[in-house]
Amino acid sequence: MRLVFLAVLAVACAGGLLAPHDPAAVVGPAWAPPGAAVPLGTDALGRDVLSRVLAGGLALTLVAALATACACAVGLGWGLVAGWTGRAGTVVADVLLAVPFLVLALLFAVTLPGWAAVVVGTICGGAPLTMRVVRDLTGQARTTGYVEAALGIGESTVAVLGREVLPSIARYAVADAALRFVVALQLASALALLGFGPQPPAPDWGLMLRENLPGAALNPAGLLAPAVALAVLSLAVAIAGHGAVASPRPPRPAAGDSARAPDPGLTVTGLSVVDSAGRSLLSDFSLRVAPGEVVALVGPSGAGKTTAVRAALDALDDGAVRVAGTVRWQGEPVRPGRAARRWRRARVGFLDQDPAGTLDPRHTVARTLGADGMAVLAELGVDPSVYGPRLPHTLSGGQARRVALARALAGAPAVLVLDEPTSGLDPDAVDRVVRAIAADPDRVTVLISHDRAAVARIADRVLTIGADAAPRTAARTRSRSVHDEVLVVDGLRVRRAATVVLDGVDFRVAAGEMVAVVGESGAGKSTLLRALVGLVRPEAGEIRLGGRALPPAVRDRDRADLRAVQFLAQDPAAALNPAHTVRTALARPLRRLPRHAARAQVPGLLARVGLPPDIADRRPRGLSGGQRQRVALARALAADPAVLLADEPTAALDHATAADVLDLLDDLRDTGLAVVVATHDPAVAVRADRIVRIAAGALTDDRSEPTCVP
Amino acid sequence: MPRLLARSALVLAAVAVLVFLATALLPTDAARARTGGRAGAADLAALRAELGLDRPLWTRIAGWATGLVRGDLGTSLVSGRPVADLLGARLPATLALMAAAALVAVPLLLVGAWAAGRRPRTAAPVLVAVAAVPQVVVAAGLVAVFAGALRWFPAVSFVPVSGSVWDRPSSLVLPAVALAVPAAAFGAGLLGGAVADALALPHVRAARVRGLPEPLILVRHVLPRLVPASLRVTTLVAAGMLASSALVETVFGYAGLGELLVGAVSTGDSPVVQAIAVLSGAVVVVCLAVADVAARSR
Repeated sequence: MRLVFLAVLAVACAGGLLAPHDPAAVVGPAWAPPGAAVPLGTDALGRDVLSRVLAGGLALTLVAALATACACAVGLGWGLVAGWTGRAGTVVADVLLAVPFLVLALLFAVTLPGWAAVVVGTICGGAPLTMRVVRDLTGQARTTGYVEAALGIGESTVAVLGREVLPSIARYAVADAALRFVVALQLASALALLGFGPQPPAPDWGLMLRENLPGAALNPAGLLAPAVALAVLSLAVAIAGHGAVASPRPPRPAAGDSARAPDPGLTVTGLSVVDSAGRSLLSDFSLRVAPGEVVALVGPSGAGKTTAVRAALDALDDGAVRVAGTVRWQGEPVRPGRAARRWRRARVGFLDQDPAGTLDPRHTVARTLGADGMAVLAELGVDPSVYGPRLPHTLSGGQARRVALARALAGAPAVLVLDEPTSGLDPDAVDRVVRAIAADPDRVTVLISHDRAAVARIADRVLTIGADAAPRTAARTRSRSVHDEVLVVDGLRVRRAATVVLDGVDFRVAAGEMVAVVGESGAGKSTLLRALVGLVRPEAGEIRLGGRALPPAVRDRDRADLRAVQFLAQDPAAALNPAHTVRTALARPLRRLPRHAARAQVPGLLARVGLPPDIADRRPRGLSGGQRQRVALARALAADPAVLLADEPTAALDHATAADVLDLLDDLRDTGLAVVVATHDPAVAVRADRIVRIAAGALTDDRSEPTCVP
Repeated sequence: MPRLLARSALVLAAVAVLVFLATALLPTDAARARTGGRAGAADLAALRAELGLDRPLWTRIAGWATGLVRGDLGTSLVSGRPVADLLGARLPATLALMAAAALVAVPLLLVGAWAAGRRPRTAAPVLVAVAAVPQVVVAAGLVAVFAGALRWFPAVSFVPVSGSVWDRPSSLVLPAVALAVPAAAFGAGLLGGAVADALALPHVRAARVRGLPEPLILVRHVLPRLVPASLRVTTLVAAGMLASSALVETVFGYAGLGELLVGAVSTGDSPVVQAIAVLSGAVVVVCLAVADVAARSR
């Protein structure tokens, strides 16, 4: 494909060298049909059409390329600034886009030469479009973990835009440039055809169309040849640009086989799944669940638990394909496609791993759930009269999970498939969820969970996928002298829209100390951490680091302050820049060292978070959720912080890995690192020196021993 | 709502200024256009004074803009006739062509958008390819094949001086198709993106996992999201066709607004060019404002 594109471009630019005749020389009668000496006939003046077509692309291509470069440069710079600052200058864009680009170019053709009108017309009509694309992508990238992390180590805005944002949007910029080129070519050929481009006798495809239109009946080739040449050049560029963002075609799915077996319940045999690149995601997975049975799938992150249940439901995400295996319900095969869809609708309740996204953002909770679901929601501990009229974006993560769970449970499905139903829930809510799952004695239930305590309470049987989890290392007993306070917070108040989330929070953390922040979901744990790191601006209060006041906003803090407070965000999916390898991501915070020295530290950092050194050359899409979270932790450690703020650091990790990470945090605390961790996981809280609880916007010391330790 | 109106008015005013500046930066052209380049320096200076071209730029903008607000589009530099009369004489022909093109474009657009949204891997590249073919190629190709080789339709779509284009509907076919095909492919690509985005939303995928039938997913979760996008795409397609009519009308010798624009550009008749450019800008601004209002009221 790329070769074809380059060949087309080469012929368009250098075709004149191959021309058999001088493009301006008269070689025969006017509009002679194709013959031996003139393969495409002659034009209005008797000149060779083939020679003129071969020579006619260079000027056009150069003008279009110049116009594209100008439009993309303007649009890219404009879009980066607009996306970053949130101030777009959209009025300017609206003004430029209000007049169609061909009219704009004609307008400029009144006073400017044709080629300049093409350039100006492409800039005015194209740069705003490029700006919009780049602005939206930049705006999205701005709130991702990797950009926040770069800001957190004190990168300048220009460096963040150049090193983080630009690489992650590069392929979209390439695709966009192809669109601009196509438009520039349209403009250049249109102006030439209208007589405002190159003047005779110059060979030019657009001008040839103008000259040969009257001879369409005598020598159609004189009209068709430049038209085809224009179309081929335009298509080659457009397709190459489209290829820059298109995803590869997935392999074909296998049909289910039709053998029968009289088994009640759900029987899954020999499921294998590959991704779009043909890599195996799951091989030969089998599962049998009898009516009334609850089977839990456990295993390390990335072992394929979610893939297994989604494959069984014929609901795999884009790109992944089931290539082998059968699913039977009550002994009857459930074939992929329409049969599986009907089965899911009639029998299956499914809870997605990321439940908040599965709620229609424009439907209220009550509309999403209906009457049955609202009754279930009450059982799950969410008040229907308060939350029924709300829209999903006003719910906390834990509330959204319970709404989605209520939808899955409503209508008493015969099959219940739950991906992490208790993640991020407080103990009371976990109790209610456990009761709701166990309520129906005839139901087939498949559960994926990292929560060992919940699994132990609900599951009749545990099935391990992938390598077995290592035995849990006991929490170490710690005795430590009291160090100096590194982080002091006084009277912190944070408001979000109309609600005061935190009010008058006082908070102290000493060097080497680990403080766990607990509280119901939605209480403000994440908000507290984000306010400390400066990503949320508090309304009042003071944050002091090592005795000095920290400016409230991240962009007012100096580099040493920024590096001293590192943040590990909740969502591992957006934590790493998709364009960078792990090595690049980790070496960047070390850049006070020479480049090779920084890169030499990468294996050591990876080892500290329990990852093998060969992972350094992978990009995020080649990592599991747990691996991404550990890389994000390694990146935070690379800045050599005094305080680490971690939001649910183990939520995406399996038990063994979580224990390793917690051990690692313990080791780091021995070197003086203070850790503040927001968590629901009792296994995390039990390791903390102190537990503080957020409720109703205020912080209280929690003196009680953590309960329900697994 | 008042903010939207104020914003649209601001945009429209800025469009008018942009249009004026783009055509009036070289004042000599206007005087030369009137005299056909044969006048001496003294005559040119006198003519400039008569046309007011020797006044400072801002007073000329102000004079032109106040005329615009009163509905006075100025006088053609070439023929000396009021611009409004020239436009009024050509408008019916262009509206007829646009209507014929819309008959072809709308069904193509809807089918294309749906196909591109459902099958992004196969249908979307086809639309990209069709939209990438320059309009001059489509127009010239139609002339070469259907008028040149096959002689099914006339190569020149002549509008009789007295009477309307509807007296010879066959003369509308080729220009309408030449206008409609690129515009429909462009619009379908835009709308297809919106369809694909809506189909890929997490809650729509979740609805599929829950096993809802496709028509129900469409009605409940997808179509309500597509209304604003459809209105915007319709506006852009209409504006694109209005602009392309300059090209298509010239190729087919069809005496509409577009052909008037091209003629005015080549003779440097800036009042006519300014009027047509402001008119097309106004159509876009008003239609987009309507689309915005419709999107918000949902």
